[in-house]
Amino acid sequence: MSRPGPRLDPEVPLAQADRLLRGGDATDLRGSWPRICAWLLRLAVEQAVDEVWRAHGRPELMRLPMRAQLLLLPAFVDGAAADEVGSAWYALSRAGHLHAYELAPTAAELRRWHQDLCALLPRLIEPEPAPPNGTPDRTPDGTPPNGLRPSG
Amino acid sequence: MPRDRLRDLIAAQLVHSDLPIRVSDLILAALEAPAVGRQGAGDANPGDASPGDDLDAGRGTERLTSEAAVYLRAVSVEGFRGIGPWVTLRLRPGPGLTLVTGRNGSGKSSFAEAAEIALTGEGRRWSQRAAVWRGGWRNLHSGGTVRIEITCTVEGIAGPVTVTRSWQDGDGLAEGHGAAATAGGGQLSTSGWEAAFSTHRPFLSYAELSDLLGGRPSAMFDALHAILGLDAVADVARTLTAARGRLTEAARRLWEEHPPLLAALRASGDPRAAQVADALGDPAHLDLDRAWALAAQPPPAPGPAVPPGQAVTRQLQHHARLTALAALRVPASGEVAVLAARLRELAAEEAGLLGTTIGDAARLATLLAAAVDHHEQHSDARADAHADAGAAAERPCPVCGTGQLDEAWSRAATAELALLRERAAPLAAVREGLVRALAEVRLLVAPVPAALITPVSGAPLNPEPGVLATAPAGSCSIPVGAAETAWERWAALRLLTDPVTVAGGLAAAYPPLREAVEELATAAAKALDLADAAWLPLAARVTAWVSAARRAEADVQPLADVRRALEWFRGAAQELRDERIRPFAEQSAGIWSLLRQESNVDLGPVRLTGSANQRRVDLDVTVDGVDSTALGVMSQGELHALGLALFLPRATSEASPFRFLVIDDPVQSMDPAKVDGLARVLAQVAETRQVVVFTHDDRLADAVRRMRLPATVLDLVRREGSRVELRENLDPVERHLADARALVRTASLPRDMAVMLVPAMCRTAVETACNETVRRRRLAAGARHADVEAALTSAHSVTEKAALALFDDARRARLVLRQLDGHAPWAADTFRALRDGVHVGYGGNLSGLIRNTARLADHFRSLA
Repeated sequence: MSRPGPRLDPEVPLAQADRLLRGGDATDLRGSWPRICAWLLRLAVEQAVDEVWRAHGRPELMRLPMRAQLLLLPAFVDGAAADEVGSAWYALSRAGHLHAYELAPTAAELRRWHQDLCALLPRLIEPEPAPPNGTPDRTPDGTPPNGLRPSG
Repeated sequence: MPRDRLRDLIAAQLVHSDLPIRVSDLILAALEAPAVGRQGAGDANPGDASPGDDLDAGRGTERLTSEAAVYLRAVSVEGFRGIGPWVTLRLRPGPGLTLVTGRNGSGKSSFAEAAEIALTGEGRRWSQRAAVWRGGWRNLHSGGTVRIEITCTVEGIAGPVTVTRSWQDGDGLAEGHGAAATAGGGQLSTSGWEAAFSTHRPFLSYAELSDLLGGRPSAMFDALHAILGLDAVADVARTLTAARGRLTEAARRLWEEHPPLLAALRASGDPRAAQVADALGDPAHLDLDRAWALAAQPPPAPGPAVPPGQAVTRQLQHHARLTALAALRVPASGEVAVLAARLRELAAEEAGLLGTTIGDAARLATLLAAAVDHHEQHSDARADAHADAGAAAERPCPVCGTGQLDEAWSRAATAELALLRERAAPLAAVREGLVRALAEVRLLVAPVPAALITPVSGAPLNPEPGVLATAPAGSCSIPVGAAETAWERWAALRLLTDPVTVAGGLAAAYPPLREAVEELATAAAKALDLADAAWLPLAARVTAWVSAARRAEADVQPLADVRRALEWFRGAAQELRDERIRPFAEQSAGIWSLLRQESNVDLGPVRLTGSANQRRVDLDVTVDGVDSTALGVMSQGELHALGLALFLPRATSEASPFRFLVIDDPVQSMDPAKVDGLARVLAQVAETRQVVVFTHDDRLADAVRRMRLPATVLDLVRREGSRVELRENLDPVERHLADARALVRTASLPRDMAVMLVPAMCRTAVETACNETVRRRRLAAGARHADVEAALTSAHSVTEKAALALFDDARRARLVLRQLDGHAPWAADTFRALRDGVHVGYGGNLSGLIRNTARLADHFRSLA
């Protein structure tokens, strides 16, 4: 799970996924392109999260398992965006693996994920819009999504 | 929606309309009128065995209102469908999502249906099935009794309310005994919930999801109409439609009756019937007055039979002849006798006088008069031929032949004649009397009446000559021949001059004439009576029809008014509907946009259109931006998702007292992406509602876990013998603790992050536990839902939340640590650690902190 590799821009896998979706070089990939596309999209998510750690001067967090990284994320970025990144990563992981009895994602599903990520990932590196104990991301119990924000 | 506001709205619109006062008054009156047959028109029928029936039975019971918010606390079931021994599904009252997962056949649907049946008295899935299907509702593995118990919290009622429904051995599904009671044992009535159950239906099963869009269009219309508070509108339309129905029905019946009435009139031989038929024959020009006059007149019949322009039918002729025959009269017998006597008397007198000098004088006078006449004739002729002759001629007497008839004779003879006539005067008077008497005979004896004369051509109605068959019945025949012969003899008297013969004829011909004619007239009158017996019911029909026609004539204006009112009202109602449904439709569109995921189907405005039998819901569905009204373009999964998008706003309407929502297996035939969307939608709804979802596989639970949505997941396992067990798999407190454990297990996690984040997650777990306790306690005490949420939101810190949980008072935050210390020293230590660790980090053993937090959370959750 750890990816110590060189810095990669999430734009790159996003663009590759887009080309796959358009059918550019899908001919030699035959039926496997949907899962490859899902992997590319998940890679884009992971690289966007890496960008967050780099931006906050905590590159060592890049080595953590993805579940831990996603648990830490709300401490650094807007809570709602962190939640969406989490659910996108889990969904793409599921789509990228071969599961018994489950079909590969459809082109329409992948296109939608692609669109969502294009809108979502830039939000991770924006400066935080709300003060730390702002309320926009409160869950129904009245507590923040994972309780990372000090409240008193 | 309050009825009054709706009425004011419509009244205001009426003011600005250009309707005549009459018409707008009709609408206003309909607004005031009580609802007409609402129950029959919609599908919102709570069923035969509505819980109100038996729950209302107890006297002096308190009624559960449709305003007080209700949450579920527990559903306990015994012996129902897949559930054998008594088992309880515990739920957390208050908003939140609970997933109950279990394999097919594990009994999860049994829970969902049990809750629905216990509360509403019927199960949607069962009520529409055949009897053979309904037979299996009892569990095979339990004894005779079936018992369902629902515990819920109701705003305004202290302590949980328990609604039970139980069946004895042998009871049918609809025969269960229902009861509702407060914690204190007070009886409650659930009849106040009935309307809300049908309007908002907090239960939704997989089958119902398909029915929502696949069912009759009017059913969905009614369902949406009820939530929009537009029942009053439907009531007005119904009242007006009923009024129109009454009016048009009267007119319809009138004209339905018209052709058979005309046919009956024309078939009748009665001349009055023919005249009435003539008056009513042309629907465009009814002569009601004439028809009324003819039909309302009591018999006897009017005179000349055949109306002008009326085809002379045989029956008509026949009737006319009968009328004439019945009217035949012979002279009074006294009159005849007196006349005959007079004739004989005068004849005898004449004979007597002839033998006397008076007779001689009369005969002489006749002779002389003839001679004088002869002389005058002759001299006149000569004077003409010889104008100069002057003197009277002399002629020989034609009697003796010797004498000369000259001027002198003539003078003497004329004088003699005057004398003779004077002497014969008595005889002349007698003769004059005879002439008068004979003239009277001719007056008395009428010629043979036309009616008696047998028609020349052998009419089929006269099977034998001289016998007239009665027209309709033919049951008796009339002896015309005898009367005709008698009358012919009688009439012959007119030609006779001899007084004695005439007198004898009168005496001889009269009695048989009288007998024959009277017999004939009686028979004819009898036949006429028979005809009247046929006419009178017909006349009654005519008068009834004419009255109805007059009423219909009077109703023409009211009917036009009602039609106008309906037309206007339909337009106004459509505007109201469009306005009311907008927020609802937006909500549906919002849910759909979350659910649709990659679907290329867009949901536009939802409209309620049409009325009466044409009412339906218009869904503006576009596929790739192209209009497509047909739902047929959508996949089954999309249809279910759309059904859910329509169902959720309905069930979560602010007006519904049910703050809970029980959904049975919404995931079927949804693809994975939609399951994610569904999880989000449910979590969103669960922010303000208690959502209980039964599902047969792990996809939804998995989506909830992946997306870290706050939810409780319960696993349902069914063992042999229908023993059902429930195991909590994931709950909101546990979720936070699991996150914390995952962080601690991450070996490479920097220590500085772990010491801050683990206490933060532990603190959230404790806060969640406190919230749960406060909700359960306050809602059970009957507190208002909004007040509870406000109290929780205003308790900012974990200490305040703990104070709420411990003391039910956030202001006693200072006492929290002392109270926890009193419970156990580790509890106070743990509380302090997670309170402060968030800010300064926790230096101790993180795994130990998580373990203690779990115990602390349990302690908070176990508080009463």
